[in-house]
Amino acid sequence: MRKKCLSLCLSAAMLLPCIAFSACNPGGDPNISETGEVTLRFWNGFTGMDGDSMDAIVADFNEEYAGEIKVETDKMDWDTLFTKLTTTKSNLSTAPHVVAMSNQRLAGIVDQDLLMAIDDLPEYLGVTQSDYISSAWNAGVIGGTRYSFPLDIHPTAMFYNKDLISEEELPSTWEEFVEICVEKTNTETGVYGFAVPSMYSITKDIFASILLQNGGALFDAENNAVYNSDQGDAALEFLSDLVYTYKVSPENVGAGGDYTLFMAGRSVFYFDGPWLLNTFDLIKNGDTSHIGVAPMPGATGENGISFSGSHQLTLMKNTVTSERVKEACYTFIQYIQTHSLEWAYAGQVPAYLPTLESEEYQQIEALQPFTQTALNAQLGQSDYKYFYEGYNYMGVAVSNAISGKYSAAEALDRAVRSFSNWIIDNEY
Amino acid sequence: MKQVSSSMPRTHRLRRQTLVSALRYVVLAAVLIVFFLPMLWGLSTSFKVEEDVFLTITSFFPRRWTFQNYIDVFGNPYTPILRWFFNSVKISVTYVLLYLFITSLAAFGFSRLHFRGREIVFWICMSSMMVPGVINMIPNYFIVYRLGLIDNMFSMVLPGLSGVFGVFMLRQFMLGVPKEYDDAARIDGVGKFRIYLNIVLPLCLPALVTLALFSFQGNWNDYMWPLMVTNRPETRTLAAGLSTFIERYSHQYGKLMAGAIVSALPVLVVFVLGQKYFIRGISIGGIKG
Amino acid sequence: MRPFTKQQRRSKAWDEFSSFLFVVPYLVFFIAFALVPLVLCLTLAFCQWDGANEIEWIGLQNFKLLFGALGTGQIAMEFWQSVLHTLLFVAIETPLLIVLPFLVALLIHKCRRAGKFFMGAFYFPSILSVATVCIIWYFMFDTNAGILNNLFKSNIPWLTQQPYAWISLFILSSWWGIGGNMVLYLAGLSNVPKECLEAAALDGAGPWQSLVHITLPSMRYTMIYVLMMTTLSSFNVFGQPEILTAGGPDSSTTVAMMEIYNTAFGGSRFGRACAMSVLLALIMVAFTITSYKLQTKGENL
Repeated sequence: MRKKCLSLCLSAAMLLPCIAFSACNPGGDPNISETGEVTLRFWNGFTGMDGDSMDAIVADFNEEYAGEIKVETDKMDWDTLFTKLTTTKSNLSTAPHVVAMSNQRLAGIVDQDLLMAIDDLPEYLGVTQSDYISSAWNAGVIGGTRYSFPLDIHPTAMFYNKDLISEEELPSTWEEFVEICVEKTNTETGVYGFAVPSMYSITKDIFASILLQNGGALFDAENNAVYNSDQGDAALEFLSDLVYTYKVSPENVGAGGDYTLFMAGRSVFYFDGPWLLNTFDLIKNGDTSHIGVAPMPGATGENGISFSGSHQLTLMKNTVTSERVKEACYTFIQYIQTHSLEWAYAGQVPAYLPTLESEEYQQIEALQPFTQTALNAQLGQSDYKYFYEGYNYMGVAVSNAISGKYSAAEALDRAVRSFSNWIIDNEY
Repeated sequence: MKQVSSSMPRTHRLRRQTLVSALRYVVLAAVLIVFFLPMLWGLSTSFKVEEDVFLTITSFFPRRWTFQNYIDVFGNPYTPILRWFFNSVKISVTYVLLYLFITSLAAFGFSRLHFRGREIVFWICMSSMMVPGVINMIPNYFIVYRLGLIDNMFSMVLPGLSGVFGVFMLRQFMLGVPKEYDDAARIDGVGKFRIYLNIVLPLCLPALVTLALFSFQGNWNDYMWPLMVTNRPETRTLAAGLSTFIERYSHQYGKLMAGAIVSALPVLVVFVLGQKYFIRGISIGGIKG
Repeated sequence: MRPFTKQQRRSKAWDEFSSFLFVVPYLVFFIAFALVPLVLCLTLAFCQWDGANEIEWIGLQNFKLLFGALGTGQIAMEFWQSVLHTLLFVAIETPLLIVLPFLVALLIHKCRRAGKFFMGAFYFPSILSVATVCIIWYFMFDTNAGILNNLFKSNIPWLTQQPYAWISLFILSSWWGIGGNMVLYLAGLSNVPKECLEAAALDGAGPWQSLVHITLPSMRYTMIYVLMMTTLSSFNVFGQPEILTAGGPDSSTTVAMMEIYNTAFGGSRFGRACAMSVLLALIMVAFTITSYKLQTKGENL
């Protein structure tokens, strides 16, 4: 009773200015009528060049379904998107119907009871698990219920400077990687093998990949953080050895410092996601570029594995209230799936296998290293609501070890301890 | 004799004064050059060819000059920078005009009129300066949301009107305007609003211009709030748009710098136009007791 | 004292009411967008709320958690550390932003020619948005390919090791903030009575003496004003550490505002974030009052 009363009072307080301006707009749902065009709002965080391709897909969709379904895209950076998403319950007239999000944030949003169960979507689309990269497919199922549908996987790959290394010399294991880095590092010309950034960045993805390759895991079956295992220590020691033992990286490379050195021709390798392909113009004019791309060592082949993220499509519970709207959303998702080749041109690896097997896709040479990696990739625990936070604590550990503040083992132990304490506190 | 002896030190002093003032210019110029290095780097990067940006990263002058960055910034359909620019102008100008009007009215009330509880109300308003900005941000978002103002330009105008700084500054300025003026007018039977409009306001012009610049600058550069309350790219302001722009060109610093410079120019124009009043506005205003 | 007649009383009431009307437009906005949020925040500090679902009254639990009386103390530690970082920033940046602009203003004030030019030039960085400023300085500070290290042929880890990360933040913030305070000082300097300065010069006072005995005392209010404003804005520091150092290395530049922002929007714990805001506001008030008291006490001596 007291709870109800309080909620009421707070709502009243929020409505106070509303009354003062007498411009209160309760926000009705325009889709309530049974006929006419359905308007869907689609939120995504594709603010980079990949967003252009998504916009193109949406524009084509709107043309094809003119008069029936209209999709309006709202683009914002991911942080803002999640910030706003939690608040959409209070005004449905601007709330989204379809939202793209990272699998790492999925469980947190499910926990807030914002997403709709879409167990019947695969049947509607006529697809099964065998049509999709299985890791991306499984990421959408939380506690036996499907909440999201896979769009793509975006693994980390190794970019290299063709002026400094030939294709034949490229390493396929981390041992070869160290060898070639030592060979190419030249203090006189200021050229390094691979500048390891010590601030929060791609380094933590590389660390997670090596950890998996060593046979370790980020979280155990009960979702306890276990990245401070022996395999984790070894992985992080390896990365900090690159800086302090092999000296193939300068010390104190900040976030973005790796990119600067790479672009200035002072480092042979650079690791990043597929979205950079368009920045380097590798998809259209790959041959003419002096930058090449190859899979991360140990990520491909028989036992290859790496850590990756995946974009997933979700439906919002509060706005998708009628069958009609739901069907419109499904139609839209189906359209994205069948047109995912366009999404590949944006510099992403679609999770839909028929697209990956198509001839047009195979011709996008620059994407192939990413594709091989994606097929073997492992995604984070999508069903764990604190995955994102746990992953960030791990990032601090990686950064601390590489900047030389703590030893690898100590940095990881500290992170795990802080993270588990933080969870206990956060539950209050 | 006496005259000669006194004129000697005078020329001496004059010479010393020119020396000191020349030294002052030298020091100032030196400081300014150091001060301007980062700006110079940003400016020159915006004129560099994309491949050159990293190859000549430490150079302060482009090896090859290009306007391509600016052309790309303006010519890209996905980053409608002109649209953002006009949104920003519309919002900032509306905000500044409303803010000046409302705060000058309030400042007039707080400084020259009497009503019960005046001091208490004023100090309650003043104490809101102590409140950290984020406190307001969370509830304000919900308020704007409930009002249905998402994607509406007034969501970026109205919350800012609660800022107490303008009231404080104008009140201080008005306290410095001699009371005799309006006493005389009042005896002649002129109403309060006419006194405000015809007598006090014109005298406050320098303070108003200064406040206009401060509030214009604040509203123009704010990016977090506009990003919160707009969903559609076409309703964004320049600063908020620029922050999505930063993501888009996160690795293309030439374009990034071009965008940053384009967005800073309007404030510079406002500053240069208002500079005449600027010093006077603050010197008589604000800060006297 | 003669009692008022009815009519007089009525006209006096109307007079009061019409006077009050002048502040009403402002008060409407103040109540709507400053007071209501404040009350909401004070209430939410005692609640748990994820922004989407029911608001739940939990009493002092948020504060207990923040004082380490509940749980493991991890969140309490992270919060108070961020508060300490904010205090460190305030303690160093505020004096810098009080002294440096004053020196520049002193130099510019005496310039008969080009004074306007110098003023505009030094003011220019203040008009840039924080994101722009941080991107530019990012390249200044980069350790291996940055401009500063290249100029001085040094190898300073500006952004990745302490205390350099703090030094970088101070340099950037001073560069950005010098212009605003300089303008305020210039205004104050133009108010210093010329006659006093001339009289002092005739009495043979050197530039140092007239600065200490005439210029500074007559700029007392400017000083207090600048002090208050700079302290408040230093407490609100957010953009610079967020963008330039992302709170690193090892969370050593994570300031209170970042902690609050992340708790509210990153972790959807709006109640706890409001409790943090309340604590920060209390510290700010205490700090401001103390510094104001010290200031006025110094005057009386």
